[in-house]
Amino acid sequence: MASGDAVVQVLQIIPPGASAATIDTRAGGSTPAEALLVYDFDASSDEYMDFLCKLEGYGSGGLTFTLPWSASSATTGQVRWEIAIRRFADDAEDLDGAHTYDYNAVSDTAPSASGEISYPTVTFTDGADMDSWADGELAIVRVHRDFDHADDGMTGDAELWGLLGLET
Amino acid sequence: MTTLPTADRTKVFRGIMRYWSQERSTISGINKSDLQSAIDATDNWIDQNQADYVASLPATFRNNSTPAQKILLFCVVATMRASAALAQRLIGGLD
Repeated sequence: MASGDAVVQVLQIIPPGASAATIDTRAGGSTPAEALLVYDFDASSDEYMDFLCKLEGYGSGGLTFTLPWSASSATTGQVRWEIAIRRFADDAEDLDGAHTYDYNAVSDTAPSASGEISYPTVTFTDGADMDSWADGELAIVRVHRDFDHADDGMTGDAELWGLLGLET
Repeated sequence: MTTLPTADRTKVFRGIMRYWSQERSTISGINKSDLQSAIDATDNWIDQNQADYVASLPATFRNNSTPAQKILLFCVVATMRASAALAQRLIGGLD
């Protein structure tokens, strides 16, 4: 695979056992109305969503994740998005044990209308930065809104639409 | 009357953001710090002006209603200015 290829396959979207982003539906304006499933990240508490992913056709480059999102009500201010990876190497990583997630982050400004979408990216370099995740392996890709980061000034929920991952 | 404790102001801060998010009520040009300052200013204004409000009430109501009833009356009238549906939720019925 080469740069730009979609090497991250999302297999499941899993709310963590606590502090999960709220699963919500955002209605579109068409007839019949679209009913878009979104994950609401609160503006005043830490919330997370886990994506079980497989790395497929990966060629030892870095990874670039895109976080498509809209705002529930705000049209100004920034959201601080963070992503971290927990790799499940063959016969090595025990899910029962705790893992310290090491986040990479981006601060992104709300779109100018609350139904519009933004596409910020978070990058990882090959190796420890992405928990040494290797081709063919599963991993949990955890997404977090760091509500009390100095950059996170946007009021109200940030609605995550999904997760895209490319090799870079 | 005193101002709300910080914890209660925080509850208002969190709650109103969640309400606006649910309602998808567009909030433009306001960051979280601006909203927190506005909540603080509103609570301070109520604290500083509550005596004037009570004094403005007709004597019969002023002298025979409880403090909680005076506050509820203020809230319902103010809420009606923003949203009849929300006022209805406060008191259970509007007709």
